[in-house]
Amino acid sequence: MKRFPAVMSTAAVLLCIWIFLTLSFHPHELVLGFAVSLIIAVATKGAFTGNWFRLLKPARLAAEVNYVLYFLGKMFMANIDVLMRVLQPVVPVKPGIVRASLVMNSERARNIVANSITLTPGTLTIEMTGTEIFVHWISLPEGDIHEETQKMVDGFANRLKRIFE
Amino acid sequence: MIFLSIAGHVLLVSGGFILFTSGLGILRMPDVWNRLHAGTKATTLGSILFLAGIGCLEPTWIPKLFLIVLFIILTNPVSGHALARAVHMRPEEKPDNLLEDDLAESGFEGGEEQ
Repeated sequence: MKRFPAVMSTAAVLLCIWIFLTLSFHPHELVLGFAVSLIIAVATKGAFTGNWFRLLKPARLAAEVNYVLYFLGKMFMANIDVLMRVLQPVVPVKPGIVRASLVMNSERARNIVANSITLTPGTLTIEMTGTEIFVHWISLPEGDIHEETQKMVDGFANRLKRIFE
Repeated sequence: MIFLSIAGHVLLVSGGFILFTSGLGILRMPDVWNRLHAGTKATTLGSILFLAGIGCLEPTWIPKLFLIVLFIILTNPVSGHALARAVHMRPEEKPDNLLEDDLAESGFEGGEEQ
């Protein structure tokens, strides 16, 4: 039963989704929902989650809120940026693919960094190797492009390291 | 209530506007990767604002709308990433207007790396 916390995390997430979808706190619904999520969680042996209860510790919770706010702010900027470009008479693009290093000890964290980069200002993750990430810029930044790219990637990576390490 | 209604309609219109610019971006951008920029980023915020607008008008739907927003945030970058990577792996489809291309220089052609 080494996977017990992971199984219970899966069950908890599934039960939350169940409650959100049914919007009912009737005991019958809750019991049925709990049974179904437990069956799914045990059948998959918690393969989709690690021990997510660890994420609820107060210190980590602060880091998570910090990351989500940072990410939402960046995402809003990204959309305004793309919007302004599209509405100009001549679309100003200066495309280029830049390499940056990304060393994280968790695959899930690497995944989150790549997805966050795709959703933020003018950047799109194209390829990842074990320790590197290749980012496509809609318009290359001013100054040293490698430095700027590394700064952007580290902005996400350092905040995530506080959560995952 | 009137405030919620106004906020809801404003959010609906701004979300629709951003979705519109996203479509316009896909038409106007010069090459496939820049089109993906418009296709992945603008659609995310557009959908989120639109769903937030619906949430203001129908507060009982908020939990379901929250699930939809979560799903969009989780899946949208993955599909964009898959498309971008597929273009890179087919050299004949690759745009030739890049000012800097570390990926070609690194000689990494994609595929399995383990």
